[in-house]
Amino acid sequence: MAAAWDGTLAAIVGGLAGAIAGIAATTLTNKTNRTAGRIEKRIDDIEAAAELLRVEAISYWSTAGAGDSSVARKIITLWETVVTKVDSLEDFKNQVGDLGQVNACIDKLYDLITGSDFQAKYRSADQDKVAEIRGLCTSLCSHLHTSRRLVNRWRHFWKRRSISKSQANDRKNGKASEVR
Amino acid sequence: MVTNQTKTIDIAKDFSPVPAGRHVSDGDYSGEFFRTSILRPALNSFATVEVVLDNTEGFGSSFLEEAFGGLIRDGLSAQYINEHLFLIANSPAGKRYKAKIRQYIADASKLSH
Repeated sequence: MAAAWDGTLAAIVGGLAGAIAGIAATTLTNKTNRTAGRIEKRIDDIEAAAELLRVEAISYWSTAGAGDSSVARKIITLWETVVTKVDSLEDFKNQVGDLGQVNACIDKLYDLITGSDFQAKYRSADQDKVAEIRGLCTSLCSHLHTSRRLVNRWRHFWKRRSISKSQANDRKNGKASEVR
Repeated sequence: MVTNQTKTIDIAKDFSPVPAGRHVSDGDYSGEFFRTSILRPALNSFATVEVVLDNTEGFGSSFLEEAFGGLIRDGLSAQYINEHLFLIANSPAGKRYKAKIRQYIADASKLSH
């Protein structure tokens, strides 16, 4: 009789432990997915702002101009938007990796786009500058893709880990029941 | 005469919330005008000068290079500027501007030698 009770109790405890492990794994997976989603949204926002900056900057330097101060101001605002959004990614360094190359691109873009005759009374078109802006924006996007890949790798690592932990618990509980 | 006091220049309040352009010919609130009318006189008169970079609508590098790198071309040394000029910025973009200003001063100094 006592042995039967011991077996029942062990099964209940094992079942409970399995359920708790399952809940913990699901919670971890959900949390990881939420964090990864937030980071990806930030990367999307940076890419969108960088694309707008690219379009405006190329348009600005493709044509000679005078008195287009509102366009110049828009370019500065877009650059600041990119900076602020990249800064917000620094909270997730473990997931997105080192942002040094992203920051270097942003700094170079600033000098390139807002240097020389930027906001001058008269501005000449500068096709070399346009080509450099294109190249730097491509580099920036490429570094952002690297960060995105790292986020996905991080997400899959934790997903696999929580699944394997959950399976290990199931196996453990199953074996415990079989022994009894 | 140089006093021991600190002069604080808030660009947005004391100059313009919309600074723009390199030379005086580019507009009313250019980097050259900021340097010659506000920054250089302050450095001549006060032991330390603090420049607040926040709360403007942003700066082009043309403005910053002329305003701060121009101090070197005006005859001040990078060492003197670094010892007497302090930059204040709290926003992410402001911090970038701060680093850029230090770079423009260093670059102008290298070019002057």
